[in-house]
Amino acid sequence: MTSDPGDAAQARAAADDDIDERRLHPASLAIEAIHHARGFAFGFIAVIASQGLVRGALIVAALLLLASIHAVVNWRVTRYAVVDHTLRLRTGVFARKEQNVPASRISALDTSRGLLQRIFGVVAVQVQTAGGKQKAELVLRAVSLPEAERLRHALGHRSAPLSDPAGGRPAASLAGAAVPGDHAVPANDGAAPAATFVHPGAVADDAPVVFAMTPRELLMGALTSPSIAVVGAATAALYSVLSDAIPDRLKHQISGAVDDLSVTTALELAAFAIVVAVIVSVVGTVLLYANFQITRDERRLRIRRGLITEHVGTVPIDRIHGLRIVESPLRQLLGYASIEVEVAGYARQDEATRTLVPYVRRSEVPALIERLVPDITWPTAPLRPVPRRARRRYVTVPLLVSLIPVAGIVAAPIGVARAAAILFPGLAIAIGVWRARDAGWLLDGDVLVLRWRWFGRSTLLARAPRLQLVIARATPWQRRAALATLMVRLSNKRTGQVRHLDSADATGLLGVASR
Amino acid sequence: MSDPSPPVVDPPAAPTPGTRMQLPARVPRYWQLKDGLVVAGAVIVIAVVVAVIGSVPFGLSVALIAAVLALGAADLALIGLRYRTLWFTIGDDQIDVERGVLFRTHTVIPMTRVQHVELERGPLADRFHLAELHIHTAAGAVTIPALDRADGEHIRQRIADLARIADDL
Repeated sequence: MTSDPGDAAQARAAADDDIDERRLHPASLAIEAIHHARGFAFGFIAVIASQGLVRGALIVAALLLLASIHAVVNWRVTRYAVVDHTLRLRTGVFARKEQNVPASRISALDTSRGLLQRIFGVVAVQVQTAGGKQKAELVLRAVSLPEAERLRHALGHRSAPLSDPAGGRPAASLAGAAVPGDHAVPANDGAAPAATFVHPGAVADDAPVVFAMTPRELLMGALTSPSIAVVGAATAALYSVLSDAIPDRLKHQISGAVDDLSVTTALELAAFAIVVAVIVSVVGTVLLYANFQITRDERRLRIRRGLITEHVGTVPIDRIHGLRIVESPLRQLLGYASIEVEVAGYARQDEATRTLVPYVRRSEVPALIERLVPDITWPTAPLRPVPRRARRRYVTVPLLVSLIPVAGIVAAPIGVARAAAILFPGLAIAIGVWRARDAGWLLDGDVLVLRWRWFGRSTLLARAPRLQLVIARATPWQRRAALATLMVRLSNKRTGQVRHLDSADATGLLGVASR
Repeated sequence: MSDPSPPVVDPPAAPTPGTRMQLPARVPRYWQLKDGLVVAGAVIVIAVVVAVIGSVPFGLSVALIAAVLALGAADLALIGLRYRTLWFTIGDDQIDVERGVLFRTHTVIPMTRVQHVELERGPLADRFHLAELHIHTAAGAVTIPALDRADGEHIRQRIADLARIADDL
């Protein structure tokens, strides 16, 4: 089953851990109602507008009544329980559905609190399992905070406060965090009396904080997030190209009856709109990652983030199959990176949920990884590069792609832009060489390291025994040069790959997960 | 990358565990029949549509049918190659599947990652006593397109036994 050392203790106290069958918190009705009201508001307005006030209101009232009845019946009928470390959820009014998820299959347990949940004092619980087809295997829409902790405890996901309180102090930066690795498993794990369940807030004070972001780092991270760079560059490029490439003569010609000032105004409005979009993106990112904090006990990471919607995820460390260090070009320039966690069950989740560390100095990554996930070690030797004959193959595809705009420029009558025809292939070659230089791999004990660059640079540290598939691919051209592309697929269906390896190396790596 | 040579019956000295196996000898005939039926079906559909619409120029319908027949002929011609270039191995620690005429792909599934194995049978495959083997992992499935049904059952059982301690977490 699992390598969870607390299992024995928990088995003894299984009776205490069980949760009797119960319903969701009644607040789930209100929360769902408000959610649906927002969605149906337009529909209702349309009905009233088309049918007149009295008839429309009657129809809306009838629909609301039906919906409420359905919601209440649904609530009464939905029940969950934890029996013998298995979460059981019964739903469905007409077609009854029962879902059973053993704790051993749970790869992560997330809770989230939005504004609505805060008002009612509840959280939403999302249970992640491996091979999940949908976003979360199981969702409990509203349970009280103590109940959520009870669930975490019953399913083995509670962050137990360590026996040495002096070791943990909420640190403002990385430097002060203590390493919890050498503490013994606390005596209260599994034998806690049923009465003292820890409020999630209290746990954060006791357990050592392994990583926390300062507000400055949060802002820098939001400003440098890849979407910003793309949008900003696109704005600047678009604005300058368009306003310069259209010669004044042409402007006068196309305007005709239209005031030729409006062309510039239109461009400026477009630029303004994009700037607004960038600001919204920054604000959104800040809201998503505010108060980012990771606490850690013996075997679990507890990741908290979010300002308006607080999201807490607990991930057992041995369920982590790999780490992905992502460096966008802008961040790489500044010397920063982000780390994503590869966990079974986080297959379809958005980027925020699988972000382990949103923004950190690249030089601090090895030490941080050791504090967070000691089983995955940073490579102790330099990565092995791709062979020389592979390098020019990294250039072919970008070069071919760059010929498209070149063809367009050569065909178009804009004289100034002809000079740019050299720019695109030059850029393509630079990107190709850059990619070839950054490609690399290493098998370091149990960890397979793959590094590649698409636009930003990604480094995947994967636990070899947890890889799901290892695939070697070769096109006819690669075969002629004894090259192959190696790709690995993880349990969350995400992949890592290095192109144009020596084919002997690729074939040798095929068995890396089977030992 | 291995080149598409005939399978080795005796276990080679190479590190590949287990022997390389090919699909049963009747599979090319099965594929020929299957693809032939698809082509015939397409031609019939085109003919019916042309007959129903009525106003399609004769040249166009002939060109369409010719195109379908040409594609079908090309596909049939490649069947032999497709058959020869596919091999698989059910070892103790891993399952290997390599296929592809031009673009070769060698997939390795660690035995401990296998979640479950399914045998799928279509009506035509049944006539040939063939079945398609699907090996499921948490990251998706790998298929062996046509196995002898009895062999498929054996292999399914063997994989299920070997993967008994499967742990997809």
